Amino acid sequence: MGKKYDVIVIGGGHNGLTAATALAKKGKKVLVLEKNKTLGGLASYREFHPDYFSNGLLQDTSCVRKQIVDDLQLEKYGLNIRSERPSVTLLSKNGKAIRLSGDVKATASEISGFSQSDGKAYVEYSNFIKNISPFLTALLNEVPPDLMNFGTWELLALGKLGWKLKGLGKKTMNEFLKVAPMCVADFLNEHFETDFLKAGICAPAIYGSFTGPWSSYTTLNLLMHECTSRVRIEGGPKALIDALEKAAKNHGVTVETNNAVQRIQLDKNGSVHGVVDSNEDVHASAMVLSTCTPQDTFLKFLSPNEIDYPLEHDITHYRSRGTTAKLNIAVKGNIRSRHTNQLFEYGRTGNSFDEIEKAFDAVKYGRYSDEPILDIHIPGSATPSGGQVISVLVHFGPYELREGWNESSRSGLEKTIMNTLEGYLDFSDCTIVHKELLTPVDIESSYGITNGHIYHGEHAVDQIITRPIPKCARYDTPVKGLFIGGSGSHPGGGITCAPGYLSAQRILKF
Amino acid sequence: MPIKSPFHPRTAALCESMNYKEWAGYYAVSSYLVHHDMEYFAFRNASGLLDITPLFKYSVKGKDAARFLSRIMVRDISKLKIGRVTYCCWCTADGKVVDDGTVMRRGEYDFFVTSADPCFSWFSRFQRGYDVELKDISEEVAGLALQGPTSRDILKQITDAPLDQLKYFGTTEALVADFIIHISRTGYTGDLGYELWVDHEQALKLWDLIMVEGSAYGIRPAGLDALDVTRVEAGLILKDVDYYNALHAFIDDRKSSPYEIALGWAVNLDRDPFNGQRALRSEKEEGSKWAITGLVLDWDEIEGLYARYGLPPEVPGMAWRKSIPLYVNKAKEKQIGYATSGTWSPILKKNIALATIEEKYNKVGSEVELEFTVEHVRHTVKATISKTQFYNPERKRSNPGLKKDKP
Repeated sequence: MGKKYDVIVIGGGHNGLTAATALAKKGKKVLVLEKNKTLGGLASYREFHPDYFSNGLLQDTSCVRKQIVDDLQLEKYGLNIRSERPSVTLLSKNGKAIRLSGDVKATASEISGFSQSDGKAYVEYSNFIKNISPFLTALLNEVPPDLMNFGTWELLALGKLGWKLKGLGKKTMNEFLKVAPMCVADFLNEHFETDFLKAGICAPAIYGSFTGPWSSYTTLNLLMHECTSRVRIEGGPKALIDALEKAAKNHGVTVETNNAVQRIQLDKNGSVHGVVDSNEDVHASAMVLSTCTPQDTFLKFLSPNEIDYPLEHDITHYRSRGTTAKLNIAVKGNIRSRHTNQLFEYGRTGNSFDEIEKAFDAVKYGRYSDEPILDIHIPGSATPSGGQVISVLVHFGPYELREGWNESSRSGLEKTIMNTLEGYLDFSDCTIVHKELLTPVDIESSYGITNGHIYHGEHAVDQIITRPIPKCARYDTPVKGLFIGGSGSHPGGGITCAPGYLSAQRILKF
Repeated sequence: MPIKSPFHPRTAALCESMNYKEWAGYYAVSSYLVHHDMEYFAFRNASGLLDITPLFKYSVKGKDAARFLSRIMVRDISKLKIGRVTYCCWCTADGKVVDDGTVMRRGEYDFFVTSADPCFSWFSRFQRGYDVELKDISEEVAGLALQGPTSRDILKQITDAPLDQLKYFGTTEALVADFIIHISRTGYTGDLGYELWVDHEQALKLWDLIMVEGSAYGIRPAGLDALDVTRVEAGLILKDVDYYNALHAFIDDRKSSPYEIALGWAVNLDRDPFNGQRALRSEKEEGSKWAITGLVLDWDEIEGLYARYGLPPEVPGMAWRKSIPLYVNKAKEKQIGYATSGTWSPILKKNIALATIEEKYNKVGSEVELEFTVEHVRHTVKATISKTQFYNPERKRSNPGLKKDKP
């Protein structure tokens, strides 16, 4: 029997570390168990080829919540955070590019170079985002109200949200209520005319949601992304994890890496009693916070007869079809952008709604896209020997490929990605040292995320409102003492620190 | 349209009354003759042969079959020995009864389960994580119940299976003529009796053999009306009559826990988690609201009521199943429950009923008042609370052929 902890956190990803730090800060004795040898989970820094490092499976840190960074005083631990999101370059097939920066005016004037009316529309669009932000961020940055046991407090909580919605003003509120359920294509068509601009803006709404731009409610996804994508973290995911690790350890959190939880132990009454680690050692604790996927939490860490059927049913029907692949490329020499003079840091392809929709169509039928949508990250910081890394999140490649993932389908996908990528990047002046392709199946096995879904479950409207399922939407679960607080919890996936932080707040109430 | 069981060519030819009902989608004979009393007395004094094919039947096989069933059932099936049968029920996560039936262990990894409602979809929900093959064999396997004091002797004429050794709630394979059947010493009459499980193809052969050999032992084909009388005498509850399947209940009040339907004895609480364990554990601690109990109606009061109208006393011609209010006293000050089924017991010469009663009033020997309508007027008669097993002959569980039982 190991030491007794107040809370054991399963998973040392950014949410696990955030939760552990927030709990330890309030005097809790916390143990974090991470199965990999490095911390960080989807944000972990990893050598994928000698001397070449991938800066996290997820590469976008712009949605990290500033108030969480402030509350955990991460700047004290070396985090450099700025309140302006990094620029993203939207790339078209025909050689055009637009740089969306945090500076609305500059972006608008760049857009005006293609279309006067789009330039104007971008200012209006940005104002709309700014106007609805107070409501959406309130919704996304707090423990959601209890819709299962509706009482006075819940009414008050909802009333508060309603008040915030009303506070947007009649015009903004009406507009928000009108557009939120719309498909993102219809919504953006109302405002913009340039195809690749619209496609580039909409792309984040499509990532990890098993939708195309013509699917309903994708506008809500876009608005949530726009309202929360607000900061720039120097050094990206690695810098965040480094700061979190320091903060956690400084607050007395015990961190064990290379130690995978085998199962959660329940007592005779079905309440959490502790966890069993990879050495079959038992760590006792009456509270366990799992930041793994909801499926692993309930279906892997507990025996089938330890959870009631209604819970099992909901969890097995929680949708998380992985559709994202990752290609890490190690390069020596100069990479050039075919569209811009300067090499961009973040680039997005898409070209048009129809092309994104077509790319998405493929995964519905168990195929990968003929022309995938690429989310490109070139950190720019060279390796000691002068190499560069290009990280590409590839949409869409299915977890369940009809022909199965094997050597031939892998090389097929890799070729397809490279063909597409070469339309945007010029590799003629460099040598590709190594390519690492991670299909959703590889992502599942290396990161332990069910079906390789990068957000621990699809961002679909029902799975956003009560994430992952109504019974577990407030971080506590039907299993007494078991909490969840990973990307599969409110407010969802991506590097945000929010689920971890909010689940810790909830645990502190127990 | 109901479908025909494999025995239909025989049962239809014998069913003089043309009196059928629908049972789980099958034609089922209510009574072969216009009145069921001969069939009832066959059950009690000789043997009755009843087609029980409409029961739902499942085969559960595999390395984890015992663990799988233990997860579903309120009983710890892993403790069931090979060749033994148990009667039990299964619950929802809230500890409310879904259905009841028998589980037979034919081998280490081989179980046979019967149920009243279709349960395949329910059982199959719990397969994740268990190495088990669950098969609905309802339409592959036919069933016959041979019940009555001469049933063992009849079976001995058609098989060499060790029937003298087969104990109450035991099961065995048996060679009959040139085919194999399974025999379980179970039934719904509360008497010596067997249930026989046979492949559809051999069904008629089995029927014919039993009827031919049984003729010397007073065998009669028997229908559901006679069975209904015997099952009330035996105190055996019936789903949809004495309780509801929790999955079909329109309102929560219609759901029952095993403790509330006299199946508390079948619950093994302290073991690995199973469906409903948590809820049942707290109900065990806090006490149940309802209980199923037996009622014996006061004959003198019944006679007296009829006498008031210048009528001789009447007894119901067959077992009844309807809800009749049960009161704490003649003034009907408080309703404390309701009878759900009852019968005149020809063998006990008593008017008996099964009732659901508030647990706190459930004391054997105490007296309550049951609504009783005579000449269109609702009266009450005194009823004494009794054990549900009104009739329980020694032969039901004895093995006179076993050496130690011999004098």
